[in-house]
Amino acid sequence: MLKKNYKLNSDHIITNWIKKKGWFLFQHQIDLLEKSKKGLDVVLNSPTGTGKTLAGFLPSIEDLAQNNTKKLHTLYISPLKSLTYDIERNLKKPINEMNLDISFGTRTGDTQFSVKKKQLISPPNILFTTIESFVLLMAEMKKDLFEKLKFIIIDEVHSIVNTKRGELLSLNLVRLKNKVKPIQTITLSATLKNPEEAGNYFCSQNYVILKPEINKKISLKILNSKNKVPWSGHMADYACEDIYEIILNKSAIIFVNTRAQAELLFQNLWKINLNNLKIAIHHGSLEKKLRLKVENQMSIGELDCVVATSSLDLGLDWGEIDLVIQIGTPKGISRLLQRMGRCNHRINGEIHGYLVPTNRFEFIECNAAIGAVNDLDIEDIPEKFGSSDVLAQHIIGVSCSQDINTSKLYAEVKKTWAYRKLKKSTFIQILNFLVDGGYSLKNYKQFSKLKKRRNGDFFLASSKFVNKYKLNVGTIVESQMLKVKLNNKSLGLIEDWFIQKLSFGDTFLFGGKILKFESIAMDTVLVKGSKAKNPKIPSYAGGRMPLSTKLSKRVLDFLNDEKQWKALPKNILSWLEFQKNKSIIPPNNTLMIEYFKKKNKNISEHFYIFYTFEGKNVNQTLGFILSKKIENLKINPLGFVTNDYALIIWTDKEVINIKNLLNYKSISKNMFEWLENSSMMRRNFRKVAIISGLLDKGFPGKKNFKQLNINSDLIYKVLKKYENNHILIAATNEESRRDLVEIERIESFFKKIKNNVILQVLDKPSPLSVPLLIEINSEYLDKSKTEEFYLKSYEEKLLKDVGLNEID
Amino acid sequence: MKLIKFNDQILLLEKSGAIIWPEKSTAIISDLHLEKSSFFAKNGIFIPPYDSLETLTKLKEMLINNKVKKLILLGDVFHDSKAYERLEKSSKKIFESLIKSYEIFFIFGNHDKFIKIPNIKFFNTFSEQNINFSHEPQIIKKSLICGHLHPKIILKINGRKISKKCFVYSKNIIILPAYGKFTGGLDVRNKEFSKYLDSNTIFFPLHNNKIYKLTNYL
Repeated sequence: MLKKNYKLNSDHIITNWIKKKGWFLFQHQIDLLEKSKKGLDVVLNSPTGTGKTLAGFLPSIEDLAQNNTKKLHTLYISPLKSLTYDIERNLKKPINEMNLDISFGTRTGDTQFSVKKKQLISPPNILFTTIESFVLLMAEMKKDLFEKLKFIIIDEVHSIVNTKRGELLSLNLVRLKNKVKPIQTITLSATLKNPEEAGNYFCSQNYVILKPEINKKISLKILNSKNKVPWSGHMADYACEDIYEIILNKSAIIFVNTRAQAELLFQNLWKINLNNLKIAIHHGSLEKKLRLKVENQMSIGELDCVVATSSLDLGLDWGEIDLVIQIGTPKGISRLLQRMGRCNHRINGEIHGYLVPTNRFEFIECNAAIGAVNDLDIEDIPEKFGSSDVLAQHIIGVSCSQDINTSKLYAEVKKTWAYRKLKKSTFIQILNFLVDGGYSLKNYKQFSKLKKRRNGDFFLASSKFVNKYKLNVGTIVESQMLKVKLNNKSLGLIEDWFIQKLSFGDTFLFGGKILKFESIAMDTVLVKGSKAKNPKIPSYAGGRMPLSTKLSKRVLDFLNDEKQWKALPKNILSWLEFQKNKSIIPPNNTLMIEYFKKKNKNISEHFYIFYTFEGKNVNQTLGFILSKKIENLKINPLGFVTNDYALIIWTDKEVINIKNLLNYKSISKNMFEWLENSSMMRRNFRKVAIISGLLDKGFPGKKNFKQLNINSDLIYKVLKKYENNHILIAATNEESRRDLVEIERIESFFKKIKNNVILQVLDKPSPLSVPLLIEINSEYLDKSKTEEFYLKSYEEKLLKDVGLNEID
Repeated sequence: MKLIKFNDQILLLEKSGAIIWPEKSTAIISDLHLEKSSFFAKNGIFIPPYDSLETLTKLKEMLINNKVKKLILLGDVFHDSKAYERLEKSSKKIFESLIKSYEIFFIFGNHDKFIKIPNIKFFNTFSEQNINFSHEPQIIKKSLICGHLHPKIILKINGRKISKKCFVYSKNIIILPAYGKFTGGLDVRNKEFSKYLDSNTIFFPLHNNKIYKLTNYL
């Protein structure tokens, strides 16, 4: 165990408090305090339960204990709202016990307006805030507010580095440091593969990395169920009773990957809850009050179990949680470790966890994940350069409180790690976009949003743009959301498209309740309670992370090593044996394709399954390209689905010689061109258009005439036609390239298989393909082609139904 | 092109969203919302400034292809009453050539009710051969052709959601889809439509330069 008394003056306030508690300071806590005293920025990378948060605040506490200024002294920034409350709760205790006169408060999207206003006039010494709320605070730019700011603590940096949120944060940090100096930055994280990245991203040049050598023992097992692991599905129904038995004796967090899983598991656990365990649900769509209630109950140990999505991934400290149960694989080692860290917050405590595969494929994946956790085989975060849409948003943010001098702002932006390579010409292009849209053939000069002063600086033309900026701040673009109201009580938000799929009277699961869809009024869905047996479950877009390369590789290796199969339960084993009989096990260094034909009413569809094991991104890119090539053969690709292992394309005719399509030379040629009209590009354009401020996010409760909305797909089309060099097109391409086109991986894949392609012609889906066929995440191609096909068949069917013939 | 009978007249529903009345050599269109983009630009939303050009080019082509002589505009031709002045050169040129080449009957819409354009006849409502024309739909005894609501149909087919502009064709009323490039649509299941629909209503969705026919949809 690490221990060492901190040798300050013997009557030092922190030393005394630690002594009184009978505790010790850890070496890394002492180191952090000492390094920060030297004026250095610090990157602390230390497992959960090692006093990371306290370490981060020690310099502030010590400094404030000696000379409190009654001004804002420390800014704590977290990527998660609930984390700010949690840290506040946890810090309150030591500060009170040390009898210190230090004030603190939180500032998030949930904070009341009056409280926020008060904070601007008389700020607390320590302010706990989120990235977005910090960015909004910067738009206020009350200079004297930051006058005495000494420390900025950024928590859970691994989830921010190399993301758009990280870019937004670092742009604002640089701006703040330019205004107030010096400010010291301390970043905290439990799972960082490369701490240098966090240092480069958020710290000044003089930073130190503290990485204590603490290895917590992790005991991770696959849940051994009485029932068989099902062929397919994502819901883990089969294991419900086994899970219940575990939580009977031990307090647990059950992590799931999607909100749909959370809703269903929560329902199922309550159905068998004969012992009246206190089981709660927590996900991002739930009303704030409900979420806070769960968090509070958890922190005081009132709950036996909470079913949660990634909304509880990060650092919340709930004391005595005995174990973590993960439903489905968490898709990455770093995320799995993060989640496992939620339990047993004692430094020497062993971490206990169970993985619950939801289908047979996942069983193998879980096996691989445990191997990787034991080897601490953490993924790299790919580097990402600063994006144009985030910069556009930032420039408007700056203009909310000051004039913009082009060269000064450019120089400031270039100081951030993410934008260090930003070209001046790109910066000017972004600026022009903000001035009047930046169109080259026509212009909106008369309507400029940023106007030019005589000295050449720009200013924001109207204060109404400040409000618009504040409403749209942030980089998280969600689909249109509707409020869910039961008896005039708001339960949370639900995706518009999910409701569109429902008819009046349909029932669905939300917030652990079965609800009946009654009506829509403006942007609110009115519901009634229901006792229906088979409610629909909102499957939410997003939230599903692609499986890391490392795990995919481990899965393929496992499949090809029959000796390892012995560890499998009988039904999984027989599934693989069955696959061996009906088709083959996908070999290493070979691409195996399975083909079968399916008749669905009057439509017949041809399915091709490509087992690449190269991760979702590669499969998606291949999907776009192969579909396009199939289209060139005058065959309609009707759609494709991908997961981390395979790509499935289905078409309206058989593709003869499909092997010929898999020539890398022809695939790499014009790869990007092929992607141009995909739904992925349109989706990314919408994101870019919203983040850059071209389009509004759209808010529930806001008056919203659908007829007057502008469809982002149409804008994208017109923009591509007239202004293909527009900055938003460039930003969309950049985003898509990052999202999908892992050209290098595709290339190395084709090098690896060296034209070894095996086509298995089957009369029905193979055992291995069954779980894949039910994959929910689907991509649609050139919509006009597929829709034509379905519209036509639908029309035909309807005409047939009513016995009418077309009059043409 | 789909052929329908309406108040004993033969009408053609055209794939770009217009109605052709062959007997009168007339084309009928609605809701162009020209200069919608510059209207948004006034509020700092700089959507691409090419909507008028796109819409007018499409309109001109359609008129030439169908060899009509008259044009009935069912309102909301412009997004606001000052939009005509904002038309830039190339779009204005097309619009003026239309005025020269066709006899235009312009019915005011709620968006452009104060608009003034030389050499165009303006009406609040208009009727010919016992067919009435207006911007907004209403329940009247006679047959009515109108626009305003921007009908769109949302189909769920094999788990896919398909959303398309469409004509609404009931016994006494036809509601045209919005002709403009940047115009959104309103789901025909919205209660705004219910007065004008019955079990015999037929919907004609437009897609990819084709027109489809859906009976028995509701």
